[in-house]
Amino acid sequence: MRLSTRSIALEVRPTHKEKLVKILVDLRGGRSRGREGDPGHYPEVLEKLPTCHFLSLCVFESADYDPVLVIEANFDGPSGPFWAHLQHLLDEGKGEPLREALRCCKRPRSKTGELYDQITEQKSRRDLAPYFEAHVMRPRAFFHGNRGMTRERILAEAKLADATQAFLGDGGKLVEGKSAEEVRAIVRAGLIADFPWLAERSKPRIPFTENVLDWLKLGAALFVVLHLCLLPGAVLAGLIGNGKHAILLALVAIPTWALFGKYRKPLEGMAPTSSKSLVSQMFAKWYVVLGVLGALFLLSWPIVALGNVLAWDVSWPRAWEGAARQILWGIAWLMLVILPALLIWIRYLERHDSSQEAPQTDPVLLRQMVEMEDWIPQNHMASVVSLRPQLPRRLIAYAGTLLIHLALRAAVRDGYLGSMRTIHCAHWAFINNGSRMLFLSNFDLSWEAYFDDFIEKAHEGVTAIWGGSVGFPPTTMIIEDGAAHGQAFKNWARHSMSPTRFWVSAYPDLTVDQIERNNRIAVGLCSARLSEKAASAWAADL
Amino acid sequence: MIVSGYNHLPVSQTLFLRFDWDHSARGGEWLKTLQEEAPVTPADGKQDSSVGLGIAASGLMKMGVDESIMAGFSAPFLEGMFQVDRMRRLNDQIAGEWSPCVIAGGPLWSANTSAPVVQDPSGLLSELPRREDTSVHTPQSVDAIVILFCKDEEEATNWGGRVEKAVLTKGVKVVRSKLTNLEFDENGMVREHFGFGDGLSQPIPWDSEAIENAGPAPDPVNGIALGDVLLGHVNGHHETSLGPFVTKGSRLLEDPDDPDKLDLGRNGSYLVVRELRQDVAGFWNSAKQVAEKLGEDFSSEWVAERVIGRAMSGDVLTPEGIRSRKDPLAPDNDFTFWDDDRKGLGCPLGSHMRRGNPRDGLATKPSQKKSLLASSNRHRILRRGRKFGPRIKDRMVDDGEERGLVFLIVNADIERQYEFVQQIWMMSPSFGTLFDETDPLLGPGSCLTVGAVPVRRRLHMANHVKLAGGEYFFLPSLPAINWLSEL
Repeated sequence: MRLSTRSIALEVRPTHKEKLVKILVDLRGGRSRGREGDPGHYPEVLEKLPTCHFLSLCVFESADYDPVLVIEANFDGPSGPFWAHLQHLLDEGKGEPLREALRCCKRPRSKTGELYDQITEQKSRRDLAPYFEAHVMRPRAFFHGNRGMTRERILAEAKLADATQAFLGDGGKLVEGKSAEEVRAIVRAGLIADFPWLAERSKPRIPFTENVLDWLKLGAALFVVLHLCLLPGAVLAGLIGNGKHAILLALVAIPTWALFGKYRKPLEGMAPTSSKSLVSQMFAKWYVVLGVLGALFLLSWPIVALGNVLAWDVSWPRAWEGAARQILWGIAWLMLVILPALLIWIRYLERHDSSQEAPQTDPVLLRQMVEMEDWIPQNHMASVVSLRPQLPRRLIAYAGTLLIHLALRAAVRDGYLGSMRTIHCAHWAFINNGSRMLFLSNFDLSWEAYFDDFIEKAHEGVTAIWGGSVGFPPTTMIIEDGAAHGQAFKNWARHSMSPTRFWVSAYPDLTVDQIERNNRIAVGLCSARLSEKAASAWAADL
Repeated sequence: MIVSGYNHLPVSQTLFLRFDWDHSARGGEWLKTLQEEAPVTPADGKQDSSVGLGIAASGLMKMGVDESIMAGFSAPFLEGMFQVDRMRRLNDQIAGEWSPCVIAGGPLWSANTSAPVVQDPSGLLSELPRREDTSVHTPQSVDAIVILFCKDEEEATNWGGRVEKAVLTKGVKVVRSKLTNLEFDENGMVREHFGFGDGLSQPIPWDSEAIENAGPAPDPVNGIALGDVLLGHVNGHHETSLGPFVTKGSRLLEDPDDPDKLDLGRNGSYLVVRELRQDVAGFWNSAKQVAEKLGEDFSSEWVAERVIGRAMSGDVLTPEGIRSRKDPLAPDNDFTFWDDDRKGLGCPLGSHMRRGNPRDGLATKPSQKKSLLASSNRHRILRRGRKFGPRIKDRMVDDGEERGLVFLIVNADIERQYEFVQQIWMMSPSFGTLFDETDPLLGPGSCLTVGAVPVRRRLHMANHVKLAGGEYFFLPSLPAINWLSEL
């Protein structure tokens, strides 16, 4: 069962904002029993949402837009049952808070206006689920730290890990003189009665077909983008001969690279913050670049050849030959002109960007955010930023986020972004007709530590994603500077956030790392036999 | 204090001051008097005595520092150590209950800082569960701390008395004092009351421009940016921590490179003070009980060394045993964990030393070694702690004496450095993929996983170190002290 990440963004009637916030805050009130009732820790809610991993409700306020209610949901399996369960969230004896919340929202001007009337009219008993489903957004990019783990499996494996620790106790006599495999066999035999699923083979977390599809999607997206970039060179190759083409290319490429060399440097006063600049990374991984270009050539060849046959009615041998020539010229233009020209454009924008040096966070909102943080080992953040208007910025925001998503999906299977592994579920989506980017994240440890991780371990990726947002710290060549400037980035991020009014986690005591560790313990115990080396690795996790 | 730990001045008198002057007095008067009796001087030469001065936010406000200038200080300094959300993060108090890491009844002293008032017309700030008590008021209020470093106890006591008398004339009361010392052993090592070497691992600040003969690059293992210990310089996050700025009228803070800027913070820092009480007999009896449970092959020293993460000699524990020193006079400090002890078979993954500075030990792949070491170093702190109370005669028998450590930490970013170390490394139950355990020395009492073959051992240690008071102070530079004394 796949983990789905979805959100709903609904515009709020400004006159009803305070009432809405109160409704959401009241959702968490009055259930303090021991640790229960700490923000994020509501077992009673989770019983009603049996597939839910994380759920959050926030209201975003802004000087430029009316407030927006955002419902974020991360759940196993199909959407339908989840929204059906959600509509009854905490409505026993408390009225119907979610219906009341929807009454605080604007009537949509789209076709769901009528449905809105039906569910919000006085004494309405109509289901809310169809309205939720009609407004669900698929995120542009999402990230799951424990890919392929259902809520049921995470909880079952956590129980098993606890039982394993309890079984082993302090170590000592139970393990004395035994090999790791013998210890594992003893633990397995001792726990199999309580955990009968240990007799089954552990299921692969990512099915083979999903795995293949991830790579195919990434390949297809990259191919479409790069193939389109071949067009200028390929078209010119059809119009002029090789000699003239070479002279033309040289005449354009030489000044382009000269300009690029001048523009690529950081602005005065900005020190380079990373040895990993975009260009140096491309040179360092020249074999990858060559591989991609080789694949691009091979995949484009039949397409261009077919195009030649259909358009010019040439024979196939000539079509193949012509296509090869066109693609090679296309690649030459891509690498020698288009790529540096695009980077010059970006660099021009970066040099003229207005960055907000002192973003002000409303002290009341800041207090409300901080008060909700650090009750459990996980935290939640909700941020909305406006996008800069220029075309390349929007392209990076819309297409870049999609490519980053596909790349993360295909290449990151162990939950690591750079060298950080603290994100359970995070996603990016566009709201207000694509003019603002929404970011919601369920992460481990404190907000400060989360951002220190971004700054210290993954600032290149963070800069690429948020570099096109209004007020973001100055960037250099898409991935440099930006988020590497710690306090400036933190201030900007805090300024973009709104307090999470209601948030629930299905496993409030577990970090991404611990879930992975529990999984390794469980997989090890499911095996009837392990080699001594594998058993030692298993034992090291205890 | 930032430049030197004053090892040549092993005794110190720590005075905790409360400003109690009437409204007519000028706020800088006491500082002038202090400068006459105990002048704060540069610490780059070996003088016969030295003075450290820290002022809390409450102190600066009482001295008359304008609200707009105060706003330039960092949030933790302005809010104080016992602000309700900070207490939760530091694991001192959660949901109104003091943790077992704090002495019974709560801390005895703090600045009792009034955090900046947040006007909340929506009333939502009071809607959180269990938010009935959000403010802590300690019995003693401390507005400033003065540390007199000198050569012997007699001098420290006399000098402390003279300072107390002098500042009293300006309405400043000494509400608490602690005679602290380093007390070197025969091998020249400072040992805290449990008997372990203290302050063995310090970061090495580096800045190619601001530090003379800084060398071409920071120390590969312990190098940090100068801006992480000194405000006004480039820090580990590629920024210069600036402010608060003051208006012209004083040339004392002028930056020769930019005469329009008067940065009150420049070359100053923040001082975190935690007064920690140690129950020596309790610690060693616990260690003995744990050792007895483990079996005949284990001693209480073996247990205590795992709790601390270093041998009694101060040397590093490795899977092969105690690491032999490169320098016969001092334990090694240039080691990393990934190559030497990845699984914690020598130095346990959750030991106090490893939690305090995990180096590259949080890496899970070889490719992460470098970035994780660099990342750990962004959170390093300078430790300048000194112990108080007499050394116990028999470590197994409680003599009823009060002893412990005045834990002094210098850092430029309290949130990213001290609070991060305390919350994310020391008190986090998920540190390094461990389960349900906190720092075995400072935590509220929990398990400690000790790596072993084939399977780990788990030791249960109770808490024997308790917080008796603490606060965040501003360590002003010499020009800033002069500026403040003009108030």
